[in-house]
Amino acid sequence: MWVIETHDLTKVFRSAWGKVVVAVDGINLRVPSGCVFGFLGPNGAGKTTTLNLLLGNLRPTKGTALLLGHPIGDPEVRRLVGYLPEKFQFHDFLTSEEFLDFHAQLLGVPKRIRKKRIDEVLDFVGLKERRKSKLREFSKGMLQRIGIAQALLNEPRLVILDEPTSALDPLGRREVRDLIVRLKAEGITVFLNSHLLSEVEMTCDAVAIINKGRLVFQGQLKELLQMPTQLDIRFQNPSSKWQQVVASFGEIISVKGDGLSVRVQDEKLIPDLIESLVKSGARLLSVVPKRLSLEDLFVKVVTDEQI
Amino acid sequence: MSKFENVNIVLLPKVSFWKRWILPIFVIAQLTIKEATRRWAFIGGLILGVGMMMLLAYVFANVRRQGEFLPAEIQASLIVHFGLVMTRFFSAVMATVLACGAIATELERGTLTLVVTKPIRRWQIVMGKWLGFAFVLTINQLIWLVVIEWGAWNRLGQWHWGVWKAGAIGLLYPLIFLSLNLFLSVHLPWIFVALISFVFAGIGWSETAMRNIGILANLPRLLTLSQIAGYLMPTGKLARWMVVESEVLDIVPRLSGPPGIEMPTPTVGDLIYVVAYIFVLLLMAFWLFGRKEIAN
Repeated sequence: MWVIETHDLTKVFRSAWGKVVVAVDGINLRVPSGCVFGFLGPNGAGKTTTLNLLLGNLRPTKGTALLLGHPIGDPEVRRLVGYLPEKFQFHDFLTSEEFLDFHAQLLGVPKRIRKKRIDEVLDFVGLKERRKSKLREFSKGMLQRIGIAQALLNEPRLVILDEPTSALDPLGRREVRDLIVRLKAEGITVFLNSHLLSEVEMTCDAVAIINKGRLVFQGQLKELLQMPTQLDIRFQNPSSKWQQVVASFGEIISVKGDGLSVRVQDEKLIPDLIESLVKSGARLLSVVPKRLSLEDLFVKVVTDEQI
Repeated sequence: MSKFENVNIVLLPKVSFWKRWILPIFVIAQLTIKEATRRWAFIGGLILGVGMMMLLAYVFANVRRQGEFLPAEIQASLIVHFGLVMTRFFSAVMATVLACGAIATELERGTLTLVVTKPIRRWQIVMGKWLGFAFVLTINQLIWLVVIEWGAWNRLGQWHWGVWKAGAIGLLYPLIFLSLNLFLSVHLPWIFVALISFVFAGIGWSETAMRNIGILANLPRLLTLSQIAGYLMPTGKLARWMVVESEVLDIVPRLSGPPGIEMPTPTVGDLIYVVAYIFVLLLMAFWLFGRKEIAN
């Protein structure tokens, strides 16, 4: 079941001088329900523009999209969506309780449950003791947490977080990461727009990678990380004969001194490869599997390198 | 067949008419009031206005002609007339200062970014802001009117009802500037909005000046320009109504123009035009903000 589905979603900006910029180029995105979905891409790839299209801040030039089964641009669907933008500034003269009350009213949270709901979200983000504190007294991490709290006031089905950890120190990042994991545990779909790949690797189930406005990968994170494994093999008795054996198992990337690097399609092939080499007379000094991190894969994908 | 398949259609919660259409406006208005009354522009403007009007009352109460104080009626009329002129000036400045950064600048700063992604229509945001600012400006102006009335009462020992009749009409004065500023602030940064607003204030002010010069120097084109200026910025139309309603013309007959030139009689049509002017600006702000693409 898709929580977000876009069909050929396109956004073209035209400047007053006639310059055309295709920010989002016909993307077909599908976000499954109940997962943490990472939306990745380098700066300027079109991530935030896509979010703005989904939230109705921008009108698509072409294509359509559904949010929780409803057309984007319908303000009513936002009653079920929580959102924290990357760039925000709260009215810092308000206390955290007043701030949440303001947003709860905009979201239409009934008066009889508003106070209880504010208590719940403050508790969820660990700021219950600071309910009477003015927002101007908050640290960046606390502001980020109160931002997440306002995104949860309406018990959303989908929470969209735009670079939620970009301005935080490692401790703050960890807090936000923990919150995301807890949201997932509560069955909420989290759409995480980020370029911090380590965060995504730790929290996301599925990812999509966008580059120059185009979707270049979409699928399970596991699937992405299971992509070809690199092996670094060193020989005591290097010979071109071993290269032929290795080549029958995968693509040789480089040959250097007494060793070579090979990319195998499946980890399960590694024992067979070693056995074949030994049977052929190769004396192995070391065989080091090098799993590609999300960062390596990301760089490969966005630089159009074949994985 | 639909191009969307396997879509998780989540039913939207049922929302009452009040919650969908009215409540968001008042929520925005409430925050706008809170925000505006905390700003130095408001507090400072209010205090400065009160101070200036008290000073005015003191000065006119002590003006002497050939060693003698002016009659109390004339003192009171001068206090009322110039007090109302000052309310027009200060309320215009205050409306501009408060509303010039209401939309584009707030989006740029990020304070409006969260609001636009809530289940709220853009026109409701503009309406809420307009109501909030209008409330603040009205309260502010009522306080100034109390000071003017105090100055007049001090001289006459009785109420000068003209203050309230003119003051009631004068409440529209800051609303002209408020609507203009909100409309401009949809796309422009605050500095440009404030600048254009002051240019428009100049156009409004020049209506009377051009008219007077046009009559004195017999320049029909200047008279036409004066009329155009009056339609572009109808502050002059409102000011004339205030002069008439303030009931000072009998005592201070020539305050509104050079000798020999009578102030044009204000008509109900002028008032209708001012109200329509405010209304149209507000509608245009709704429309513009509704179409604005927000790419934060």
